[in-house]
Amino acid sequence: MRPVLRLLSCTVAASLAFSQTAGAFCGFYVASGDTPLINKASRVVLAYDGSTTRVTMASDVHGDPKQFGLVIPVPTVIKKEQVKILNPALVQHLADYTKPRLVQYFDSDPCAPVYPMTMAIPMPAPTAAAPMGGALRKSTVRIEEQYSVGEYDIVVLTATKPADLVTYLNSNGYKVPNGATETVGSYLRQGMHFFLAKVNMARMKENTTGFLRPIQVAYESPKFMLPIRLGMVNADGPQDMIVLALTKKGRVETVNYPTVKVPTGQNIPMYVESRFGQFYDAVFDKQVERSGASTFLEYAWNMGACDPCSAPPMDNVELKALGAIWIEDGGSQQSFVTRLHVRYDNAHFPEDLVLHETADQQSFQARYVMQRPFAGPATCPAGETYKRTLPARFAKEAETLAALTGWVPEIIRTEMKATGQSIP
Amino acid sequence: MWIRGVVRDPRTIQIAAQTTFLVLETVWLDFGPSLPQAATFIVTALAMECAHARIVRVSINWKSALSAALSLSLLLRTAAPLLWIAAAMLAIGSKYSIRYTGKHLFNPSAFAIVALLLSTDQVWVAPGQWGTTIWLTALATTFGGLVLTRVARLDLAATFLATYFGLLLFRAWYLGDPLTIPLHQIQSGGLLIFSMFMITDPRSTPDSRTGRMLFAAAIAVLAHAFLFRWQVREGVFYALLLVSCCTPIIDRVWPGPRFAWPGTSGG
Repeated sequence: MRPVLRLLSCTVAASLAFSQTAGAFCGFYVASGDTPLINKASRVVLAYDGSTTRVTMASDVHGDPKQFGLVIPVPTVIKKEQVKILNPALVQHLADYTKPRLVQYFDSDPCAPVYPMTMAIPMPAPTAAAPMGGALRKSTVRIEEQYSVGEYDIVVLTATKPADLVTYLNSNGYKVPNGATETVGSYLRQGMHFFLAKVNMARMKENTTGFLRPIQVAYESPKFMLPIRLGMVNADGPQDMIVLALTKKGRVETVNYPTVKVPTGQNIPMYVESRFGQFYDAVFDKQVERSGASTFLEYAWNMGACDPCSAPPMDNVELKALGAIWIEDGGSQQSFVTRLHVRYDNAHFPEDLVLHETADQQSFQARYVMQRPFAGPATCPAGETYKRTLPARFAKEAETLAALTGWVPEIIRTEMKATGQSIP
Repeated sequence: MWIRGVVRDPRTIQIAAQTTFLVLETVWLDFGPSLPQAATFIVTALAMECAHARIVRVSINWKSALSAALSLSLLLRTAAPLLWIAAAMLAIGSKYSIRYTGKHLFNPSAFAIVALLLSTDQVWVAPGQWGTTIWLTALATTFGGLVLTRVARLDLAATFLATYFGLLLFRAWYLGDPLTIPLHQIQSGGLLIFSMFMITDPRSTPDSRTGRMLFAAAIAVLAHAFLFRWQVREGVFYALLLVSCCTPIIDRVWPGPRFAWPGTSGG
């Protein structure tokens, strides 16, 4: 008997429009005015070679750059040469390269098999933006470094009394929420320093990208972690963070929260193509509901390859700029990327994210499949058999979609019918 | 009769508990051990045990080997099949080669984990994968408590957990952190499994109660320093091995009756 379905190799395409509309660094943004703050998502690239961490913080916050400031605890005093400003396109490229993807396959004519068609669905491009700076006031606050890089005025400081530091921040235009004093105190007692960045509006005019550019900070410290606690102080609900880790050896995971793989490989109805972002948001919501205080793995792969690629591969110059400085020219397989997605709030994530690098090189990607049925006429018995199997297949896809997203089965079926996937 | 003997042996309960966790880990958690990995640990450990029994002409202590293999499956991660074999060989090998006064110095699986962590960059431990799920904590406590009560090592686990939790509370107080932080840290399933099945190995811990409590407290202090001061994620294993080096001294200063599993003379 002839196989009813023939999978064609075909490919790629990803279109993802996360509903995250605003982003922040893993510290927290503070407003200099009374503008309501939106601090719900952030994107962080961590390049870690075993001793040095290069953390690049990119943000999607839209609005007046004057309104934003960045406050982030760092393990060492950061000097000017340890800070770099990157082109937002670099972080965007890595984010696109690792994002959940929708792939499509075409059934062949079971009567006269033909071969692949490739189709790429264009991806929407998000944007970037955000921070600000400070002055001095007599207290236990000690300014350790003060300099400007790119459009940012940066201050690195410490204090013996956390309340002084909070007062300093408030009197320098950073509106720090009341609850922050204890958290600030905890970081200070752990020997951490505070890295503050504000936008210098005069130099902002020289920045031709139109966005606030990502800041990269390099430090040598055994602390391989992401401070999220400050970010939760002024949050009005759970926040999303995408951690993009570049390492030498293998996958990165959290040691104080479980790392869970998001569902992958499922066949879903074709109509999802036009709302893939919405679909993935629903999948992610469901996962958070199910696994709670976990970090979610969306991508783990050696940077030397991808299959399918959701964006053009990154070259060594880009990877080095993002902090993977160990890469030697000519070698593309010397770094491994891990994309972790975490939705955190005070109730579920009392601690900062503590990370470690494993030796796990196993590839993983959040990948969903659209199997396009053969639309032509059935001109042979195998073709008729094939057509008869389709409704059951569509029903299975509807079931999968409902289970993944929690969407209402009746609505799914109606939508499917509109795209030619009728289920009797 | 045979069945009654098996059930009365606390190691049977320990093996049942470890197997339960292994099944849970394999089925329920991502990045758990693969079945080939667990099978390799078990087969290699049993083969090593048989070889030893044959060479020195003693009865086969299969429960000890199986328990060590299950501990490795629960805690050690590596993608290299050769290292699966090496881990089990190191575990059982250490049990029979690193001894003093007829007692092995190190917990076999802890020794294998540390030896591999120090000699290759291809292994890792996954302390966070268990999460803090309450029912798992309860399950571990129940199973572990049962095992330990029957082999009189509850003092060890209790001292370790109490000291470690005390240190977490002290740290939180010192930093001004909310109570939720030490509570989250102590609720780690991985930590509980470590304290119930690894540091409490009756054959490689001090003989006297005073000695054991000192031993457990020292591991807790050292593990805390490894984790929070030196940021070494596998700190608990290093702490266990370092403190185990002092067991002969502890036994000399605080002597006590030597433990033997029912129906065995050692191992």
